[in-house]
Amino acid sequence: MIAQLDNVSKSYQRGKREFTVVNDVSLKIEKGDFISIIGKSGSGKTTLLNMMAGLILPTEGVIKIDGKDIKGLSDKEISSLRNEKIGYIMQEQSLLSNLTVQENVRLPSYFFRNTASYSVEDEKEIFRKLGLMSLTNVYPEELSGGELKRVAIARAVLQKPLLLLADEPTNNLDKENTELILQLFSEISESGTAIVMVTHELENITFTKTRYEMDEGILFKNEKYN
Amino acid sequence: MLKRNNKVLRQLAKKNLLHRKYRSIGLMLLVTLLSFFILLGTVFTQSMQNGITNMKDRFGADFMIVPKNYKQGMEAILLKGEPSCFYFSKNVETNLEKVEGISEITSQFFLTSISAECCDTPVQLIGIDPETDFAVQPWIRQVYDETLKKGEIIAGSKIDLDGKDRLKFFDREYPIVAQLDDTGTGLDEAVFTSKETMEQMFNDAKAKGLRFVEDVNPTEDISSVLLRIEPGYDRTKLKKEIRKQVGAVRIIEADEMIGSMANKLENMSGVLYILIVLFWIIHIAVLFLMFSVSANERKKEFAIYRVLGSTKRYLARMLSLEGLIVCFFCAVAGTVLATVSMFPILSYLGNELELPYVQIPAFQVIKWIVVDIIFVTILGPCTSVYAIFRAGRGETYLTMRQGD
Repeated sequence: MIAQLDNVSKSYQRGKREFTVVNDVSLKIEKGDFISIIGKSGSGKTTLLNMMAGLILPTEGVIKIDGKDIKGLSDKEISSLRNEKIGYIMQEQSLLSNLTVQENVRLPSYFFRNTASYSVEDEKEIFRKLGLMSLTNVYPEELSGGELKRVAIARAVLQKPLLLLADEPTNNLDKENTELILQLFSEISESGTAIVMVTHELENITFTKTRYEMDEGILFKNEKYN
Repeated sequence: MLKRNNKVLRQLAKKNLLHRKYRSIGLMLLVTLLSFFILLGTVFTQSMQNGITNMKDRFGADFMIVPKNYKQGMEAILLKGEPSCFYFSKNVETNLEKVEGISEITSQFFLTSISAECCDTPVQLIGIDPETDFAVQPWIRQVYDETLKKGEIIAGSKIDLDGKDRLKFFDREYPIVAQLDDTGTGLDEAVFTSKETMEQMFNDAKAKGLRFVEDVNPTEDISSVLLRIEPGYDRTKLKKEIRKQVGAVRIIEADEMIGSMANKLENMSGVLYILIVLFWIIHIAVLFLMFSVSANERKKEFAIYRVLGSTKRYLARMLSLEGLIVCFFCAVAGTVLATVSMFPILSYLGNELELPYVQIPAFQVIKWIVVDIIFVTILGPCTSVYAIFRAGRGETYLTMRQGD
């Protein structure tokens, strides 16, 4: 089991009122799973991904990644887990503007490891697949929205994580590039990485093996998509 | 290209600084300025303190007796190094020898060389009595272990010898047996010799027809009497007795002469200390503010680092390093600038403020350079504390969204 969520809820206090963003979610993610979660804006999808990445802690319930309950981990342990076992493609632009494309992609491998978990050939292969070969020494400010997204995907995928969390990974991408990314996700899930992808584009979910929907914080399998 | 291992941290810090050029330049100017003023101010203050101590040490006597109306002439010699000469009868010394309460007594004879072909340099010539002198010989002995023989001279530290081992006064050359260490007083610009040699110089000057020595007899006249009081003896009582014995003379008390100058120097250094402290406080506040503003601007960047797996400690190290790099290099730059400009600036200030005692002892300057570099460098990591706190605070994903 790569990840396990047991009755996970997340609530926020706004003034005197409490809002439950994620409500009693339970989910088991196995090696090689390719899961999609669709849902309206504000349904709690991104919050769920952030909890799986250990960026926020659940109000209730237990999240285990690679067998470890993230609630009891120290900053070093959770950072190490995020760095070595989780790849996270954020919805927002997430490249560091003072580093080149290649430096941005390589950055995570410097935090906990002395050697990268991938070879130069792996890096070249990903750059080639994502059409980034000519952009390795370019700074983010010179890239288009689609290119920025592809660099962020390259960075997450290249670390060969156990669990890849992708929040609207095909935003800003044209149809051709969208298919390219989803094809890449399929390939890496075949090789053992579990993927959880949040999307609002229905056509994207056809590439995934398991499809969930989220509404008002509740995660459920909608039969019409499976 | 980022290189592997620990160098990455250093390279990230450097890249972050280079990426925000204007902020970094502003920060660097500020820290360089701080380092510059701290060193210059400290050395200036310290040199004035040295001046006070030296003056007290070198004065040597409790009382100095000079002809009436010549207090300013004596001060000019001692404090400003301006040549002057005045005389009264040797009887003053002889009469004072009988006075109760005096433990040591000696006299000096002054002469000034002139700016002409016969003399190498116009200076104050001071003739001492090697047998009774207690004021000058203790510090002569620091560089010359023997008693001054006839014809020998000792040069003050500021006499420009230009490699010469002799100096010419009134067409006669005298061997220089030693040059004194810097005292920071006007005596650095004087030449010392025995009264015996002085008599020869005086006769040569007279033979050249110098008017100011016409009515003077070097065997019967002297320029000043220096005396030390017996420990615990009443000063007022002694002064009264001196007046009674020798009549119309000017009694200069060491504290009186040094006092006014020392007060001036102490007031100046007090103001400077306050300015230095204020400078520190203002700079610390501005640096703290700059790092804090920058931390606010960079919160999305910090969030990205966290998402990618950076620990809070790693971020703290990176930010500390940024502060350390800026402050170390600027501390060095500031001290280099201050060291290069120290001599002209301090000499100028010394002249403008009429403080001839501004000395810059090399050992102390080196000590203050090291202290300045250490303190200014430490300031970097210390003032980036808020930025470090900010970097590790809050929910990362919320910051990511707010930062967009």
